[in-house]
Order: sequence, then C-alpha cells, then structure tokens
Amino acid sequence: MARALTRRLIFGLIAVIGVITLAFVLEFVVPGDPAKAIAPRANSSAVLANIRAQLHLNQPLIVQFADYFGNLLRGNLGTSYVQHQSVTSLIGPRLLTTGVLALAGVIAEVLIGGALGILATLYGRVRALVGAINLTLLAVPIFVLGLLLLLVFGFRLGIAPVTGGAGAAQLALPALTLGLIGAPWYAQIVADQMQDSLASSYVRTAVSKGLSDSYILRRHVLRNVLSPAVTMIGLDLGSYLSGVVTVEVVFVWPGIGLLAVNALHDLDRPIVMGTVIVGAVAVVFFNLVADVARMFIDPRTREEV
Amino acid sequence: MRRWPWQLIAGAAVLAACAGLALAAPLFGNPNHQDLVHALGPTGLPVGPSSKYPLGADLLGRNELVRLVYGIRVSLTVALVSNATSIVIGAAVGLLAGYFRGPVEQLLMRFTDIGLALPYTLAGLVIAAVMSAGITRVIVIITVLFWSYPARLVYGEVLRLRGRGFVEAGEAMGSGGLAIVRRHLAPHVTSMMIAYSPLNAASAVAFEATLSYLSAGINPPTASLGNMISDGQTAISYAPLLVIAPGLAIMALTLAFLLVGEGVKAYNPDLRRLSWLGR
Amino acid sequence: MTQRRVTIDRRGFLRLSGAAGAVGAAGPLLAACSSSGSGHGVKSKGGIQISEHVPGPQPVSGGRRGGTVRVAWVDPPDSFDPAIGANLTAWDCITELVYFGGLMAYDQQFGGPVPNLAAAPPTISPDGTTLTFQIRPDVKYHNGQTIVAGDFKYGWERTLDPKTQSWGASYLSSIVGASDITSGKTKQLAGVEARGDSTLVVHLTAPDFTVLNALTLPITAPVPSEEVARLGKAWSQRPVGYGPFKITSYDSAAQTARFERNPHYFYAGLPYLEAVTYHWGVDAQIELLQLEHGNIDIIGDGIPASSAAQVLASPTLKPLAHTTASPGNIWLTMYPTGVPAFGSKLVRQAMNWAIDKVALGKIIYGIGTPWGAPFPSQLSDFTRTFQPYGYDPQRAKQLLAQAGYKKGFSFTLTVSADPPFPAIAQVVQQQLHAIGVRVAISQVNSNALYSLEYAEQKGSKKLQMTADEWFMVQPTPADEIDAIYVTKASSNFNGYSNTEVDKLAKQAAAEFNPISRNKLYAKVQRLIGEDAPFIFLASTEFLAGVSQRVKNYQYRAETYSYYDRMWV
Repeated sequence: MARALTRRLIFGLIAVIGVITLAFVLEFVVPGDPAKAIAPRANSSAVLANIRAQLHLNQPLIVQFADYFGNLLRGNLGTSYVQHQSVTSLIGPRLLTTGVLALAGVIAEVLIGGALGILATLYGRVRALVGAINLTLLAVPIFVLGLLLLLVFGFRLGIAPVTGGAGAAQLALPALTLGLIGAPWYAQIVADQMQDSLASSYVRTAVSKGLSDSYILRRHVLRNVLSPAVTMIGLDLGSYLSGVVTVEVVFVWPGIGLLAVNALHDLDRPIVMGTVIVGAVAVVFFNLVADVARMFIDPRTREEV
Repeated sequence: MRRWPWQLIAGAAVLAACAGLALAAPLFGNPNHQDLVHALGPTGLPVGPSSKYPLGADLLGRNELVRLVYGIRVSLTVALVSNATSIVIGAAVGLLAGYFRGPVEQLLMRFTDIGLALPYTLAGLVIAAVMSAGITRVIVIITVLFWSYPARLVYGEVLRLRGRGFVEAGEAMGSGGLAIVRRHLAPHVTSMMIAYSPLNAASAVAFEATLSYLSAGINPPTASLGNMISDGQTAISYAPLLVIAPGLAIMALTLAFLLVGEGVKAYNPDLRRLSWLGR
Repeated sequence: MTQRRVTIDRRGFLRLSGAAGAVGAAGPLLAACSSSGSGHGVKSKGGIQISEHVPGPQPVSGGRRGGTVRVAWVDPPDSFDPAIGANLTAWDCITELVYFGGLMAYDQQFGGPVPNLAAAPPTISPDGTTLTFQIRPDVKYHNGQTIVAGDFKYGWERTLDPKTQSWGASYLSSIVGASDITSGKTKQLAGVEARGDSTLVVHLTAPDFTVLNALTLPITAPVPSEEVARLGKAWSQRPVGYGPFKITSYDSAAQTARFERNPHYFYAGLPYLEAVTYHWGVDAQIELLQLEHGNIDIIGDGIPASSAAQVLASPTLKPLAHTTASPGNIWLTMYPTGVPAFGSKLVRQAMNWAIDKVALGKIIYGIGTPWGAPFPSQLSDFTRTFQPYGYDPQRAKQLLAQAGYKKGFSFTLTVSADPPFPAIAQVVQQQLHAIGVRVAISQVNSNALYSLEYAEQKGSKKLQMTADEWFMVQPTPADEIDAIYVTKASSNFNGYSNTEVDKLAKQAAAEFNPISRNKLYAKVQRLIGEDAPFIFLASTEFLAGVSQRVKNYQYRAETYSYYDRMWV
C-alpha cells in the first residue's frame, strides 16, 4: 500500500507542476499590459516602462518562469499587481472562506443525497419520485439554480439575505445550492449500494440469524456505502476548494473563486497564478486523502490503480 | 427485441423537438434586431410579454423568444460537436495508453492526470482569456477540459480487458496491433463511450452555459442561453422571464441528454456501472 | 451578482491634460477658478494675473456634529499610500479623508485649484519658471507633527523614485532634476529647495502652469519621512496624513476601514461627522440593495450603469440618486490607418449622422446623455457655437455615396468588456448596418484595450474602431484638447492632427481672459466637430447613490465625495 501511495503522490506532484506550467504560459499569452494593471492612472510610457523593468517583465519567458518557480519553492507567491500586497496574504483568508462554504456544501449534499437514497431504497412508492427529483437536479445548471433560489428566497420571500458577505446567514443559500446539485450523486451511490447489500447473502444470513437492523446496516451496508461516498467527498472537496466559482459569483461569496474571477478581469497575474496553483494542489491533495481513506475503509481496494 | 425504455423515448423526443426548433430558427425572426424605440420604455426598461414579444423584450429591445430559439441552436451544436471531439480524443488517449503500456502509457496518463487536476471553471476562464469569443472558443475549452475523463475510463477498461486475456488471445492468433485494437478492444470501448456520451453531452450543455454566463464563452450579440441569463440578470427583479426562460431551456436540453443516458443504461444493464462515474 | 464593473469604469481614466511632457503648453488654470467661490480679487505679479482665493471650503453652517457615514465599494483599495493609490476606493480616501489636496486643492464642486497647504497662491518669477510657496504654519499631521517644507521635497522625491513604482512620476516631470531621479542617477530633487520650514521654491524646466493642477494630487502630498520608515509595509494601509479624518483601522479580512474625525483639521469647524467607514468587496448590484435597506449611506462607485434606468424610474429609489457633476464624453474612435474609409472627412461625418444617439441614450440612461459634439455638454465656463450632430441616416447615406462608398464598407469595433460598452457596441452595430456599414464586435479586457491603443501610437495599425470614454480632471475644454486633440498628444491614439487646432490650443492656454478664451475654444470645437475624428455619442453623468440621512452631499469628479462638509 505504501508503494501505491508513493506512486500516487509523485503523480500528483507531476500533475501540479504541469498545471503551474500551463497556467504560467497561458497567463503570458493573455493580451494586456501588467504594468497598466499596477498603475492604471499612469499615462506616460516612461512610467509604465519603469514599472515593467522593476518587475523584470521584459525578460524572456523562460527566465521569468524560472524566477517564479524559484520563488514558489521558497513559499513566495509574489505580490498582487492591483492590491500591492503579498499573494499569500490575500489568498489565505479567501481560501478559508471558500473552505467554510465547501464544508457546508459537502454536508448538505451528503445529508440531502443520503436522505433521498435511503428513502428510495426503503420505500418503494417514492422511488420514482426520487428518481425524478434526481434527474431534475442533475439537469439544472448550478448558476441557474442559484439564481432561482436567490430570486425566490431572497427577493420574493425576503427570508434570505441578498446583500453579499460571508456571514452565517449568507451561507445558507450557496450551501443549499451546492447541496442540491451534488445530492443526486450521493443518492445514487447510497441507493445502489444499499440495494446491493440488502440483497446480498451476507445480509440475508445476518437477518436469518436474528441480528438487529441497525447492526446489519452498520456492519455490512455502511462500509459498502462509505467507500465510494468517501471517494466522491474527496473529489468534491478538492473541486470546491479550487473555487466554486459560479456559486461564489452568483451569491457574491468572498471566497477564492470570486478572487480569481476578479483577478482575471484585472489582469492581476500573480493572483491568477496563485489561485490556479492552490486549486490544483487542493484537487490533488484531497484525491489522495480520499484514496487513503478508501483504502482504510475497504481493504479490498488497496491494490487498485 | 427488447422494448425501448421510456427514458430513451422521452429524451430522444425532447432532443428531436429542440433540433427541430434549431433548424427552424430562421423562421422565427432576427435574433439581433433591436427596437430601441418601441421595445424599450422611455428610461430604457424593456417591455413585458405581449403578442409581439411572447417572452418580452430583452434589455436591448430584442425579441427574447427568437433569441431563445437561436440559443437552443447554439447549445445543441456545441454539445454535439464538443461531445464528439472530447470523446474521440479521450478514447484515443486511453486506448493508446492501455494498449502500448510502458513509457507511452506513463506519458499519456500523466497528461491525463494534469487534465483531471485542472480546476474546472477557472481553467476555462484562463483559456478563454487567450482566445477570441465565439463557438470555436467554447468547443476548444470544453474539449480540453473534458477529454481526460473518458481517457481515464477507457484506460481502465482496456486494462480490464487485458486482464481478461483479450489482448493475449489476439496476439497468440498472430494478429497485429491495429487489428487487435480494432477487433477486440474497440467494440467494448465503443459501447462504453456510447453509454457515456449522453452524460458528456449534458455536461457540455451546462458548461457552455456556465462559460457564456461568465463571459468566457459566446458573447453577445450572438444569443447563447448562458449569456442571455447573464444579460438578463440585472433585470431579475422586474423582468425575471429573461432569466427563467433560458434557464428552463438549458434544463430541458440537459434533462433530455440525461434521459437518453438513463435509457441506454436501462436498455443495456451491463453499462450500469457507469451510473455515477460522470461529472 | 456577476457584473461587478457596472459603472462606466472610472478607474485609471483620469488623465491630466498633457502634463506629461507638454512643456511650454501653458495650461489654463487659474483663470478657471475666476467664476466661483468668494473672497477673491485679481492681482498682477510679474505680468501674470493671479486670482486670490480664501482657502478652504466656504463657511458651512447648519450642520450637526457627530454620526457615522458608511460607504460601500466594489473594489478593495489598491493602496492608501498617496504616491500609489489610484483606484476609486483608494482615491476617495487619499483625496478627501486622510489627505486633502496638497499645496493646492480643488475645494469646491466647480472651479480651479486654490491654495490649500500653501498659505497663498505662489509667487511666480517673471520668466514663469520659479514658483515660491509659503507653507501654512498651522497644519499638523494626524500624529501631531507639524508639516514643514522639507516634507514636500521628501514626498516628491519618493514619488519620483523608480522603486516606489508610482504612476504619478510623469506629473512632476517639469521640475528641474526630476528626470535624474526617475532614471536612477540620484535620489535628490535638485529643482526644489526647502528654505527653512515654511518656504518652498520650485524650479521648472520651462513655464508650465499645469503644475499647479498637479499640486492638488495626492502624489504631491507632503509625507512624514519618519513615519514612512517606521511603518514600512503598513504605510500602504494606515498612512499618516493631515486630512479631515485619520485612519484608525484597516481590516482586509473583514474588508472594512474606519476613519475618525481629525480634531486638529486645519479648516476649523470641520468635519461634522464623527467617523466614516468603508466597506469594500460589495458587488455593484448589491451596493444598491444595501443603500435601499439602509445598510450603507453612500455608494462609492455610484449607481451602476445597468441599474440607472431602474433606479430613476422607481419612486422609492429615485430620491437616493443624485446626478452630479462629472464632465466627460463617450465616443467611438475611428482609426484611418486601419480603415481607409475613415481617412475621408465625409465618411466620418456620415458616421456621426448615422447614429441615433437618443435611442442609444436609453441604454446608458442615467449615466450619460446623448451628445453629438466634442467637449461635454455641461461645462459651466464654456458656451458653444458648434451645432451637435443629430440623427439623419439619409444624410449619412448621401455623404457615404459622395465619398465613393455607396456600397458601404466593413470593420471591427473593439470594445472593453466592461458595461455598458458591450451594449453600446451592439446598438452601434445595428444602427450602422442600416446604412450599409457592417461592423464586427471584438470584446477585450479593458486593460488589453489600453495596450492596443498605446501600441497604435507606436505605429501598430491594428485597430479600426474603439469605444472610449474620458473623464475630465479640469473643468475646461483644455483638459480634452491638450490630452487628445493636439497633434501627438499623450492620449491621441488615432493620429488626429489639425495645425489650426494646435495653434488655437496654444493661444487659448496662454489666454487668461475667460471670454476671449471661450471664443477660441468655440472655434476649436467647431474645427474638431467638422473634422469628426470620433463618432460623438454622449456626455457623461455620474449618478451618486446617497441615503436620505446624508445632508449637504457634494461631489466632484476630480476628488469624489466631500466628507468634510456633510452631516447626518
């Protein structure tokens, strides 16, 4: 298992490096003058040229990339062009804010999805209804759902705050949006695994032995559900932490996704690079964590690639 | 002959209807025609639904219904084309990696890892900043971001088939590499990709809408369901139809693809294990 | 909601009139203040007429002391360092809160620069190259330290220092020795002498009256060197100034800053308010909601373009909107190097007749009024004679045919992706289509648009038409003439050149009598109007969003909201 993990770790590292390189190259192809991003009021080419020289922006791409990578290894992500502060100090708090939303979203989708899946399994009459709900939730694009929730609960009913920010009240709608969008996946996992397990010989034996329902659910069904569920949670956390861009934009949740969107608009290259890197690291890291967790929960999967 | 599942029929019907609308779009009118004088009030607020404007006018005095139909046309085109490109590229990569093993496999799989590690929407925005707006841009972005999943799936499938001896059997019979791929691997991979396509297409519809909504896809004046929503958003409190109509259209298209996917799985239960392996 | 840049993007669009390098083109400056304020006469010193002015906001009465005003902003301040701050959030703070002008200031809603930290207008040598300022002896920084002449010299050296990366270095370029600092040869500014604590002598390389406009800018503010050294990086968030409010907290995580009354403000009796708080990171649409619900008192960025129509049409929201002075223009620049048809005056005039500006006005309702002429429609000191272009598509087609383009032609219109430009582009596209001119739209990032325009100046020849805007920093046509219409002016991107305009501009700049100057500007406007280097679309307005609890709200385009004289 250690060998498999080490391999994964190395592959993950390679992937992150690949993403960094890609992002760097793309950022340089983006049209626009970073010196103008730093000094928007400057109207003299001499001033702009000076700023470019100060930032070594006239060097060849390779040199700039080497510089950037070197700094990166020392933990220095550079200074924001627009806000003149270190990228780490700007990304840090925003990452935390997105983290809160990510966690809330995962909890919401697990709860809603789990509930739907269990209902569908245990009560045959609602299976079709749950299926329809799942399908609808899968079909609605995330920003449309977000806007609809905002319109109904925020504007029309007035029970949710519409004034942006990162408070507990403002967390409800975006977390609910994430929860609803992600629920069908969990519902499906739960429903499938429960059905399989409940029909399996293990469980039938246990039932005939007279073991309690909760014991059966815990020992046999839960483990089968947890394994794919944990993988999915890992994937979700990773992807949410890389910036739930659309949800943050719709609800103006001041997380790392919104920061990235604004930075892209402002041509604030260091921030864009910073957020892409953080995102890639988050995805790789949580995938790894999910794999490890899955290996522990279900030893049968240890040797899978 | 098995009965066609209802999901397949329903989904295909909706798709056919949308395709019909898309083809008939020019009959509805000109989506870019602005009537600033009559369709906008004196302070620039758009008129609501009427016989002339069944869904109302948008913020530039254009007919929302006509734009909706053209938007459906765009979404359908993007979905079909990018679905094809991403699956073809992905399947090719997966096949090559799984069949040739060794350094080729490592190289291709590392690229696939990078593709899977890309933060989705953000990468889309960054790529968009480099290309000029339009359908090509959207198709390129979707292809670049979507190919690694089918690659991983196909790779896994090829390994599984190897494990079941398909490749060795072919080699023992003296077949060359290409023939093996064609005769033994391709059929399985193809049916897997056919089952995967509808989900892929559904995601493509949603992603194109998201990109256009974030101004990283198709820009106005070309009507796209996504950019219609972002245009109409500022008017959501007094003209919600500008958001609701395109929103429902996106949902209908996505739902149609998903139903087709469910139908294919119901038709061929062997493919059921793909049920939650999508995005 | 998503569209954050919903106001006409005001960032970085202020450009001083030809200050960068327009040596010798004497700016119109003091004459502009001749018709406002009270308590001044006209003296003659060394052959140059200087009007006197009682410094400071005029006695403001009836105000209630106390209370806090909350201001919402979309963007975080890029820096509160007066040498660097440039975006709206930062500019508002460093011109109206922590700092207030420099040696000179704009202290009214209209009018030119007046003495501020300077005790009186400067003494100007007969050849116009030496200005001597007496510093007010009673002005203290927020830390209690007295402002001395040496602080100005230090501040200007700091602005010029390439390491500071200040955008404003070019505005001090007419001072002797400035170029030595920007090129890195020295850190000392040779052309400025601090004689004792209260006299400052400034030597210019040539007479340049625009320097008095530059001296209102925060980049020329005096700064205490010890505090700069002590605070280091923190200086950009909590600088030490001398304005009506001092900064007491800056919280980037909570996205707020708090400013409290400066009890030793040198204009006695002000400010009324106890405190002002900033809240940034607020989406443009949400700013409006917050104003409506009473969560904030002022929308710093103004009411966004996309909501202007809705606000003005709503009886509950309308009282919250104030149209305030913000002279400027929106136009479409035509590049003859990119489109041969634009080389013909007839074609350019045809294009002006082809646009229905009133219809276009509907989509910029509240932030712009239709206007088919150069110079904003609301300049207080200017009376025009040129008749603005109206809407006459028949005439447009006639002119096109006359010029030999009966079948029309095609080109690409490059616009910024910030609202309302994409909408303007789409309307223009449709309207030109009606006269046979086919337009393709290319939307780019606003920064990228800049790069493209600057590249045009260097001979790039890629652009064909762009949509542009201009916000004046001086309330006189010279602001636009010297920066845009004069041959090779700093913001002249399409190569427009008319020697008659150049000549008249120079003449007007040296003309201190406002009536004769006005006649010259009217001539210039006619020349430019007939030459039609641009398609003139609209004159800008700024729609301020202010809660009804704020009284005596005054706003000026150059410096934004006057917090020192408002009360709640």
